[in-house]
Amino acid sequence: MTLDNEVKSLQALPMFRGVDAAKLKLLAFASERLSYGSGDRFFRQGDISDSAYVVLSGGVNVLLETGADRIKVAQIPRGAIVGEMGVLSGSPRSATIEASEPTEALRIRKDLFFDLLNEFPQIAVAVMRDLAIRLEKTNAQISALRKA
Amino acid sequence: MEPSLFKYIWRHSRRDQLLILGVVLASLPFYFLSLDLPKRIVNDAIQGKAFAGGKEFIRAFEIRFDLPSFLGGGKITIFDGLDVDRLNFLWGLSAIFFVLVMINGWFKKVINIEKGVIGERMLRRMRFDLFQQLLRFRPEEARLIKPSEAASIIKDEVEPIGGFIGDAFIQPAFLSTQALTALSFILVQNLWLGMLSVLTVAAQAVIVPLLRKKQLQLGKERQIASRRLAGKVGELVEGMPAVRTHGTQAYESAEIGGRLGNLFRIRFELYRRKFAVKYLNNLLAQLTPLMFYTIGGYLALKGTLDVGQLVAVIAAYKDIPPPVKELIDWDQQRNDVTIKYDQVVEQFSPAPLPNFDPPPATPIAPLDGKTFAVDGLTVTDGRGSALLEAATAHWSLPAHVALLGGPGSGREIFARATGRQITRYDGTVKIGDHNLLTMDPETGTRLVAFAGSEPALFPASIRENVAYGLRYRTPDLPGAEAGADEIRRQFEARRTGNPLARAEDDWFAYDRAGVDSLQALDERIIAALRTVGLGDDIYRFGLSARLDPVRDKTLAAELVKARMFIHERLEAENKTRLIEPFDPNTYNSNGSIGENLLFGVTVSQGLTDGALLARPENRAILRHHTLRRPLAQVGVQIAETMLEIFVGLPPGHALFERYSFINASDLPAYEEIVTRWRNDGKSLDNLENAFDLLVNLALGYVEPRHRLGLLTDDLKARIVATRKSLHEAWRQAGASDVEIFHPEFYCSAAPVRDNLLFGRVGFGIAGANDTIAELLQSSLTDLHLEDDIYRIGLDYQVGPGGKLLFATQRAGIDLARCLLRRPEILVIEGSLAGLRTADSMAVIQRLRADFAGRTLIVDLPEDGSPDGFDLAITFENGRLTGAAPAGPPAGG
Repeated sequence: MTLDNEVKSLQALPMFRGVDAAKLKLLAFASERLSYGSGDRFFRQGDISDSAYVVLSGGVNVLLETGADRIKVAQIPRGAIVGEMGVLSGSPRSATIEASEPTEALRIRKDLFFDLLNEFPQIAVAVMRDLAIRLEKTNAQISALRKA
Repeated sequence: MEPSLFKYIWRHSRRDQLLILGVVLASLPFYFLSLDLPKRIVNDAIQGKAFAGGKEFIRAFEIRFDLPSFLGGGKITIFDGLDVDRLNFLWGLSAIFFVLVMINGWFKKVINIEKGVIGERMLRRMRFDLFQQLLRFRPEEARLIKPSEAASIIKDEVEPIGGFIGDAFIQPAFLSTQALTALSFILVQNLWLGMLSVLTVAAQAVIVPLLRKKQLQLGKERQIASRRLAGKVGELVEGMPAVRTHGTQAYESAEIGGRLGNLFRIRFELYRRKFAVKYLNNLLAQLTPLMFYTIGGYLALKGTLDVGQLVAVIAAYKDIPPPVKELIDWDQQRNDVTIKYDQVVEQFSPAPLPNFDPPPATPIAPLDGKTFAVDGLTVTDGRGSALLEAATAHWSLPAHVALLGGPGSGREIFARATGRQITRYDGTVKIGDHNLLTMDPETGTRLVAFAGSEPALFPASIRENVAYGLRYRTPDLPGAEAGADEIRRQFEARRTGNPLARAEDDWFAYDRAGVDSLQALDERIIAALRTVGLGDDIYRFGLSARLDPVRDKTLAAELVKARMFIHERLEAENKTRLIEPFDPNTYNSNGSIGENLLFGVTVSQGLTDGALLARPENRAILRHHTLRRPLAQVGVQIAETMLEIFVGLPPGHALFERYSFINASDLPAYEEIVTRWRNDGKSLDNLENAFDLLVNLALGYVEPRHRLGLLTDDLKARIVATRKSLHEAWRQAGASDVEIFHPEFYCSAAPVRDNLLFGRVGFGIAGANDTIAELLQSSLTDLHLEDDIYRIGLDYQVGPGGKLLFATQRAGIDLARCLLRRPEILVIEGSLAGLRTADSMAVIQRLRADFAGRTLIVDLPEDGSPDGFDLAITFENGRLTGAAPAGPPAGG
């Protein structure tokens, strides 16, 4: 897969809608393109948060580890950004992420992530929108739980 | 040091000075004779006075001595003389004159050489003494010395003093006797002319020094100003990052410019005065002969002075002004260097250290059961406010003591004082019977070691830095069999008060580290570095280092075997896809185009792949394979993409610097090329002259990493074919700029890691690097090569002040250095501050295990727990607020 294809994949993602192609190309170019086999780990709960990932294809599982137990709390499909919260907050990974099927992802290292956010408001807004949507979902879940 | 320069010189070079003085005195009779001879040549030979009365022959050149009367009188005749005519008489006298000239010249040579040698010896002694003074500074004072100023003093400022030392006593003795001889000669010839000369000389001797007073003061100013300039330049070199960050180049330039201006002013003033004095001197010197000619001529005409005498007087007078002038110069120099010396001594006079106790009997009595007693320890800063007030704590040795408290709490002051880093304090610190302040330095270093947050590392390898603390066993001197050079070296060292031992001999006190060889020492160094948490770093340094296969022949061979082993293991574990091995016949898609073309590593320092391939002979080979145009095509497409995606970013931006192929300085050139290329309908036809630049860009391209889709199978095949042609051409030309990869040989130009993997880790495979690192380590362990990698890592050069390392690594090396020499008491303050709490606590746990049975005083991180320590001392606001046994060991 070439850079141009990756840019097309990124453009197809809802969160990057409206971001210039050149900026997406920079994002893709400067990040690392990685392939994961099913079950391969992105990172582990408690690790230092050193990168964020954009899942280009496939999907990932979010797992909480308590002692020897591993609880799957969510499944994230392609098109999402994962691991950005830890990078933004500076705290260690709050969960483990593993590929649920053969998966392609872009790894954006921490300093690059911040450089991109600082330099390109479009990308910053895209990340914020993604976070906001997730927060809304969480709120909805909480209220649903309360009602239940 | 001796407060007076002349006393200093006299004390250390008395014998030599007197010896030369003897030579000077011995030279005088010959000198006098050479003055007298011209008169005889003119009067007796040329004018024929000796042949008065029409004699044809006279008896001449007898050598005989009149014995004084107390030896019975009479004469001793050595040579009876010859009967000569006038012409032969002239020849004879001239021959004697020639011999005298030779003898005088020889004396002058001997005297000058000896003077030079004395000067150099004294210079060596003085520099060494100054350096000794430096070592005597208290730690507090040493911190205030500007390194570049101290260096400028030891190196430059004493230089003229050294030059003067050879002249200090001899020059005035020699010159004044010379002048006096000449003067008395004139006086003997003619009283009036003699008086005239005396008068002129006296005038010179009085007036000139008066005029020079201001000059001396200016000289002193100049010395201080140039020393400060050296200090300022040193500061600026240190502070360069700050200058760049804050853009204060203009200010600093003005500052330096101002200093240079001031120096110029002083020097200009000096020149003006110097040449004014010179003018006066010359005038006086030339007025006198004028008077000789007029007055002497008058006397000669009158008949009271014969012409021979007049010629001799004038010849003698010619000899007076130079000595007198030189005497005045000497006096000037004397003043000058005395001022310099006073200045230097003043700068290098540390406040006296306390009188040390006599060194105790060896070995030092064990400390077990003794008390470490801190009583009323008070430390104030330079302005008198207390940094630590009346701290008192006692504990029995050995003990592990935790120091708690935030920055400014007094904790670090307590640690520094107990670690012998502060010597100005009130109260006492005692280790058993030893008072910390007065215990002799040797015992001090044996008992106590201190590791702090600002460690001093030397520009050498990690190994040398860690082993530095063992360098105190003075090596034995080579015996007489060492040869004449060695004997001379020792003789000179002894004469100048320098140490006799040689720095290049083995100074390591192996027994302190508990080992008996350099090899075993390496193991201890590695163990110490592991204890302080630098094991992984050293391992990484080892893997990224370059090995000298000539020096480490067997190891290089082992590593090549390990290479095979690793690839077998990759195969066995089904991980071959993680590494794409180097193969002379195929394109390595995870390597760059440049790497694929060279299939090796450039050997010459600073020779880039691009520069190498741009050489005419290599360029021709690329052209032969019609590779230049396709590579330029790759290059122009890279340039286009870079310009597209980095548009709008300033050229110096971090993103651009880190991720674009293009140097900020080359950006405009590439912009222009891409514009022309577009305007030409994306054709390279008119860009032939830009091919070098474009090819250069293409060389760094790695397809799976950069993913621009620029490589075709055809291009790859052509690159491999070109590679073969290049290798063939280099082989034929015997060129050695590139060391080519070979599956069965070690490549010394490539790092150890590349030699082991002999391939490129695949891009885009998640976790590939971690998996490979694990596999590499386990393979090396299985082959018992891990220690060798560490050993190579120890060769890593730390750079000036350790600047090539991170602060935590520097602190770790300093700590390991303390561990290696196994002190009874180790004080740690701030060494672990750069680590995360968990990491620093892990290091502390290992240190405590290492120090079982010995004493450890260590500051804990703010959220670190003192559990398990024998004693926890708490500080707050410059006071010791509590000292209590800590809780039981965590989990115990």
